[in-house]
Amino acid sequence: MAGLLAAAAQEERPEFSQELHQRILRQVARIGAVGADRTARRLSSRQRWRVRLALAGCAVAVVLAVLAVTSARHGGFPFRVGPKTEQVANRMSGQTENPPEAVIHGNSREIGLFPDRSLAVIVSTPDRTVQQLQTQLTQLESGRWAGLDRDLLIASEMLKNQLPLNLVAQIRTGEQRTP
Amino acid sequence: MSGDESLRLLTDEELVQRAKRGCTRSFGELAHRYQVPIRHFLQRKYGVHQDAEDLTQETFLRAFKKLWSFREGAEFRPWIFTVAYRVALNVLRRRQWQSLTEGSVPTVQQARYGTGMENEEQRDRLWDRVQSVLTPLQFTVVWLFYVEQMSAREIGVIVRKSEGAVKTILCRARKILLPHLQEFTATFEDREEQPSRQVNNRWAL
Repeated sequence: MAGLLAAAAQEERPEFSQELHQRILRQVARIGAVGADRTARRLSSRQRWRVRLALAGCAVAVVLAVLAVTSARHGGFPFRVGPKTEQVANRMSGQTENPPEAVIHGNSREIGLFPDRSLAVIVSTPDRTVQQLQTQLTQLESGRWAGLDRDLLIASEMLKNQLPLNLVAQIRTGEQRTP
Repeated sequence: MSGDESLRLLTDEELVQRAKRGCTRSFGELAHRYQVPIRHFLQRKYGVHQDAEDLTQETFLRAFKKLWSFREGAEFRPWIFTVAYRVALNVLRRRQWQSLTEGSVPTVQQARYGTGMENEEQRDRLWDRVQSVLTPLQFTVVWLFYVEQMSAREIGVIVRKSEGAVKTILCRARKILLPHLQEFTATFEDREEQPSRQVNNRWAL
């Protein structure tokens, strides 16, 4: 089959056409100048890419510098590490959290498996809360009148001490005692 | 030794490298070497002499424009045939589109085989018979394999198929061609008696 097909193809093989060759050469010569321009443009586009890369590098450098300055000012990494991140970090470093303390309730008896320290903390929580609230209320009250109420209280005490209120009271009680 | 003679000593790939650096004479030498095979291929694909010349010119011009994309270390022959194959496909599609829209342009089959008596005469020729029984892809693969002596790998590059797919296409094409070519064997033997002995030995699959 190979020989048959090759021989048949050879029979109808066209001759070399000088006219076609000249036509191709003319067209190629005409395109040649345009091709040279295109090559030049390709080079310029390469240069453009280099400029773009340089700009990108500068941008990255600026970002890194800003990060470095920020971390130097804040004394650490500018982004706060949240509790979840800490937990993940602990988990990754192999540190495990304390297991939850189990409490078994039976009738009114508590079978406590937790340590006394925790119980004391839990019991004292309401008292501590009330104390904190009272302290805060006192602070609020004291700051409410900018100390004027305190001055007024002192002034009234002084006035009370100066006035002979005790004498009047004694006279009145004497009158009452006098039949 | 003149410039053209020294160019003839260079390989295709060396000429391509020179042409990429702007030497149009090197490309001219390449066009000189491949004008006939490319025109033969395109002429067989279309069957219209003038169209084949135009397409050959178009192929070389496109190759010259796309020369920058030619990879170093690649072979030029499959590459130029790839360009020709793409040009042929584009023209075929354009013709099909024109035939659909205008109706006056001859269809691909008409352009390939002609009409009436011309058709009858052409079908008497071996490659016309091959072309009539094979699909365009099978025809291209068979042509490149048997006429241009290309390997399955090179053909795969041209038609964008794997090497295995090309071998499968070739095998199917052989099966299709075998009964059709039987009658040509006797004619061929009558026409070329002594010189064809070697060829006829190769005919056995």
